[in-house]
Amino acid sequence: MALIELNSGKDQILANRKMLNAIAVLAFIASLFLWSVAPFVATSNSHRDKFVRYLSLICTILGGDILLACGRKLERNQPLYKALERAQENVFIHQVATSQYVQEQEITESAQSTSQDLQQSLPVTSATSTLEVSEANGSEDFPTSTSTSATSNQLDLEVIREAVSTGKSDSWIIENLLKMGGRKFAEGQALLKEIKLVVGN
Amino acid sequence: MNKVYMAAGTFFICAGGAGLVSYSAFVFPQARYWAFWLLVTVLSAFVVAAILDEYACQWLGIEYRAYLSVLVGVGISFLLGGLIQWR
Repeated sequence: MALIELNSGKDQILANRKMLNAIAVLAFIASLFLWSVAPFVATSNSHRDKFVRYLSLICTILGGDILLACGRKLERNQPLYKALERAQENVFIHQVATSQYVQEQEITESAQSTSQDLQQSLPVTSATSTLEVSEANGSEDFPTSTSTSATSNQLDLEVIREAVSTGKSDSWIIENLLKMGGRKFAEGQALLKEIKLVVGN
Repeated sequence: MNKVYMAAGTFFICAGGAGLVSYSAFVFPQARYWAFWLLVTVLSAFVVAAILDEYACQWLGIEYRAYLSVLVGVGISFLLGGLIQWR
C-alpha cells in the first residue's frame, strides 16, 4: 500500500512537471502572439482598437508573470525531478541486470545439463597428463589406452577443449581422443560438433 | 528550460510594461509629459545600475556576468517593447 502511494506521488510530481511545462509553453505562445500581432492589426484610433491594444498588452504582462512563476516553480523542484529521474534510471538498470543474470543462469544450467548428457554418452579417454607431456615434447603421440570413468569425463572434455584450442585438427581429435575413426568417423564428427558447442569453441 | 521560461517571462513583462507606457503616450498626447519623465527616470536607473554594478552584484547575490546579462536583456526588452507599440 505504501509503495502504491509512493508511486502515485511520484507520478503526480512528474505529471505536475509536464503540466507546468505545458502551461509555460502556452503562455509563451499566447504572449508572443498578443504582443507582436496587436500593434499591426489594431492600428486605428477607434475605441475598439484601443481596447484590443490595451487588452493585448495586459495579457502579455500576465503571460510573462505566468512564465516567470512556472520557471521559478520548475527551478525550485529541479532537485526533486533529478532525483526521480535517477531513481527511474536505477530501476531500469536493475531490471536489465536482473534479466541478464537470469538469462545467463538459464544458459549455464542448460549447458551443464547438455554437458552431463554428453559426458554420459562419451567414450573418450582420460589423457590429461599424457596430453600435457606430449604437448611439452611437441609430439603428436597421444594415449591409446581407453579407460572410461565418470570422474574422468570432465577431464576428457578439458583435454578435447585444449586440443581444439591448440589447433589440433578435427580428424585427429576424432581418431585419437574420441577413438571414433573408420566407420564411426561421421558419428565422431557429430559428437565433436556438440562438444565444441558445449565447450564454447 | 526553466531559465528560458524565466527569461521569456521577464522579457514579456518588461516589453508589455514599456508598451503600455509607449502606446498611452502615442494615443493620448497629454500622457507624453509623464511618459517622458518616466523614460528619464528609467534611463537614470539604468545608468546608476551600470555604475554600481559590483555593489549590485553583491547585493543581489549573483555573478557579474549574470547581472550584466539581466541589465542588457531588460534594456533591450524595454526598448523593443516601447518601439513596437509606438504606432
